[in-house]
Amino acid sequence: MSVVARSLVRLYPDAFRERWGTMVEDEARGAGWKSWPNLIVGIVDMWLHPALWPADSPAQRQRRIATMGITVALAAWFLSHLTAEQGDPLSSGLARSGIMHGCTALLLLGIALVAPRPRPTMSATITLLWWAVRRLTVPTVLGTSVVTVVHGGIDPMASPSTLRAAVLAGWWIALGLGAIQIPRIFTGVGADAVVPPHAGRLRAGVWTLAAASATGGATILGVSAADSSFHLLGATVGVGLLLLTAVCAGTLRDLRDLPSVN
Amino acid sequence: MQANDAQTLVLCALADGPLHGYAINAAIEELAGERLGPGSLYGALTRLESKQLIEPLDGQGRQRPVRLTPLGREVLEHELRTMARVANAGLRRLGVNPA
Repeated sequence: MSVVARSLVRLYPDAFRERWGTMVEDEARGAGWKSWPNLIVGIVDMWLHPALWPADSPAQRQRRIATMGITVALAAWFLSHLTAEQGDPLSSGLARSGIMHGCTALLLLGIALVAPRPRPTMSATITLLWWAVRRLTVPTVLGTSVVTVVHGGIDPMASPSTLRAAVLAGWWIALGLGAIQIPRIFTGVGADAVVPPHAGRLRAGVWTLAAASATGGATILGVSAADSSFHLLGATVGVGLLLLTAVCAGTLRDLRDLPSVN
Repeated sequence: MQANDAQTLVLCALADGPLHGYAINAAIEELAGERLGPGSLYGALTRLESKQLIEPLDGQGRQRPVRLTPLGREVLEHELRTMARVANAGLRRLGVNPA
């Protein structure tokens, strides 16, 4: 039983575990299996509120919010791209595609607002480049390989279904990995290389991302459910985007409540 | 905050002085009749620390005590006075004499 409790505690964010980990484990071990659902809810809650994790400084909290913002933006971009490429219930309406272009523009604006700025020093630039290479080599090589295969004369559409599936899987894995690894660049470089945006800009950025994911989610969900044939992928992506809006809303509330960030 | 809100219960448990997690939960059990789950207890402690209402002290062994900050004391007093005012008004309207 203590193995399960210890394993669950390991799922908490590092900063939380360093501060409370041993005590949570003791408490969970004492309470037994009945405490596990509460522990799981606590773990999810903590991952959704990076602004609350124990921090050494307000800048560290701001950096975490910025990273969360970039993660949300990339997740929203990935999901919208997935619908456009695979499900595509949106292509039939010019107005709908206009809305989605507007959402993409809002996502880019949100990223520009929340992204930490590199410090204007040579060592900071080198550190940032080193982390970018380290994190993005695998998705870049994978994506480039897929593009090379497709442009090298092999037509996946006319090839055996296994090759087609492999090319498609390779492409989406490369994009997904890229979306996961870009925020990890900012968590890797640390305070010596990047400066987080101040609270006002963070708030504006998270509002922008919330607006983008809410509009995109509502549009995709509406179109997927209202069309003559129900689009399961589109509906799932729409719900996913609306959940990302809820994450943004939670962060905005944290930003309002935290005196150390403001 | 509400009377059964985890953060309020933790603040009330700490009103007497610094306590570590296990002792906080024992005090909450005495106060509210049941213990908080570990996720709720340490989630509340994390939130309170981020709002600068509590602060950790140097610990002994695996346990790390926490205490109320002056801001935490002020916020707790304000919340409890608000709750008492609402409780008294509600009891009066029910025709029950507030204790």
